[in-house]
Amino acid sequence: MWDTFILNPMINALLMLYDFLGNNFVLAIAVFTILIRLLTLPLNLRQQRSSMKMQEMQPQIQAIQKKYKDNPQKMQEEFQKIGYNPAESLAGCLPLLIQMPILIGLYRAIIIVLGSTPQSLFELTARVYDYINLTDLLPISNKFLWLNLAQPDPLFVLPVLVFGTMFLQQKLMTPATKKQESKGKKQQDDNPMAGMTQSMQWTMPIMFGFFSLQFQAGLSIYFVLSNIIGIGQGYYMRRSMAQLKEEQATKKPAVIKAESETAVASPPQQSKQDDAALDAAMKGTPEERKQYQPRKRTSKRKRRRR
Amino acid sequence: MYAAKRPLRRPVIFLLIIASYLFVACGVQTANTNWPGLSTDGEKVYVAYGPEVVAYDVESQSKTWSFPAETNPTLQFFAAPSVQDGRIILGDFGASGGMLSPGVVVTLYALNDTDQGVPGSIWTNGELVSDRVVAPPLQVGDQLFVGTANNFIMSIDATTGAKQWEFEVGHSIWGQPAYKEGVLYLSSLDKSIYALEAETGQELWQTELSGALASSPVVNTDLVYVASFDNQLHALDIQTGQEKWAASAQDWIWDAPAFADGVVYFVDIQGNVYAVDGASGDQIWSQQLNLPVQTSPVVVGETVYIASGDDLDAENPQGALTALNVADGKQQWQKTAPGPLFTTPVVVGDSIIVALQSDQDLLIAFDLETGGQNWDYLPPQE
Repeated sequence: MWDTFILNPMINALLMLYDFLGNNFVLAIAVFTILIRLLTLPLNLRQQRSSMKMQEMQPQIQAIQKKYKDNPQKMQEEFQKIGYNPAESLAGCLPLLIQMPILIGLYRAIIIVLGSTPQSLFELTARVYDYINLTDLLPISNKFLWLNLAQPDPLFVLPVLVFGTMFLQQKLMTPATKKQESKGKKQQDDNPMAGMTQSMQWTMPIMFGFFSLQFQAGLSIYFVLSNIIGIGQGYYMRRSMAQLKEEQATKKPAVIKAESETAVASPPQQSKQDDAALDAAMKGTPEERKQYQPRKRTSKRKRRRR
Repeated sequence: MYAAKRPLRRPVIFLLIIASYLFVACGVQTANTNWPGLSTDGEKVYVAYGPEVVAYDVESQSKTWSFPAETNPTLQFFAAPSVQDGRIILGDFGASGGMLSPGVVVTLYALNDTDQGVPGSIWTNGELVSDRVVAPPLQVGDQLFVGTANNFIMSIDATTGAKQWEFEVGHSIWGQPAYKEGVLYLSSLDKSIYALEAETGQELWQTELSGALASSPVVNTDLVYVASFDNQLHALDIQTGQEKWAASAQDWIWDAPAFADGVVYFVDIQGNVYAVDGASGDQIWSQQLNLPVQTSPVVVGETVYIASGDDLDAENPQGALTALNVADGKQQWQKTAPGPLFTTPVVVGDSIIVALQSDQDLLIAFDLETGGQNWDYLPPQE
């Protein structure tokens, strides 16, 4: 099942691209990466939009969670009122889940296609479709610049590139948070989702940077190219979101102004006044609900100073 | 709920980073699996498979030694050991280069054979080669020839481990080189066969064929035979490299042919066995086994033995050893093994010994005459 639907098609696609692109395996990986990114583009865009939407709704979500922590049914009702569906946030992970088999498949496909051992070449023969003339394609060229594509990069260039491009991609694909706008670290701590997203900006690139020390160079090249495409995609999303906000600002200046002046609040520290405000907001018109933002949290240190 | 989640976030991220660091630092690298490498000195068999090399005494039917004394799970041996006058040469598939190293360290070992305990080290060198040793090394006197997966053939002083010369070819070397009268014959996946002056490494001739060459050349008095992925067995002039004749098969010929009494025997990967005249290439007979074969035929007396594997998608892959008449290719007997036989068997005394890629047996000895099982060996499972 796995071999028939994931691994073998990948192996054959790589071989066909290698054949069409003048027996250049790096070019084959590059075109393959673009194809994979194109295939997953709708899902990626959906995930990004969903992520940005969630980010903006966080203050309301936290306030509702805090207020109705002992009444899940009521909590769900309130979530529905503001248009939040927890299942939708899980669906946002779908592109990542879909990419996992692709990554694992590609990892295996590169190992098998580069045929670094007799057994892997033997395995390849059984996986190649009849219309591909493997005899003519062999041996697969495994040299590119200083790299042996079947081995890790000995000069550390690819691990650094994997880290750098993945970091940039994560940064661009993450919605701009209030922290970035107001420079308040506390606010990041107050919003767990934003905090986690910020942490992932570092965690994922560091992890994959380490992994690239042991990955075959061919796989690291895939990561670098995929990240570069992701950077372009992130840049595009940022611009389109900014344009959207601008349009909204022109249409509803009062609403947008209120939103920009209100910072992200912390549910655990919310006062009863916040709860009252939430009640009022929930009872009010949809416009009023949208304008609702919990009160800014006051730190202990500030309270002591007062 | 929220208050409990937040303190966990940073430790989890920290742990993830530490785990990925350890993943690299502990050398969890790409696993390169292969079938066992098997050789013999006529008394013992030496099998390189996974983390260790085992020497097994056929007469006493017991393990003599294993190397290294303490196995390293990231270090793997698959190339058949080279044995000559009690000196054993091993090349490995590489181990992690250490903390944060992106490379692998491939080491060559020269060992003194022993009848008990651990073989003594003559020399060990982790700097001579920079990629896997797939091809079995070749010793000629005190000269050692090692082909590597990153396209080099090296001449090394077998007594000291000092490099004498190296020669780069177009792709990996998977077949053991052949030597005859001061000339080294070498095949490569780059589709070429090379003749080099063994003393200096100077190229005498190179002939490019139309398919990759994964196996050793076989040298006759005036011809060099080489099996190719272009579905042909090629016979080249030993002096010039010019092709004299080519015998066709139905599919790739993976491993080296066998030459005996003027006849060349070879098998394609579909299990079609051919016997052709060594001088003219004219076919004498052919026989269908209908089993996948990656090994060389072994000729002993009036019998040619073929070890075969199984389909890759077989649920319980098995192997088979088939005995055919050298005269007409008719089957004498066929015995099954509880694992695929991808390794060319060796002959010791009255037994033909196969190495298995299986967790049920590592070695099985079949009687040359009847095919009955004489003994088998599976290292103790830890």
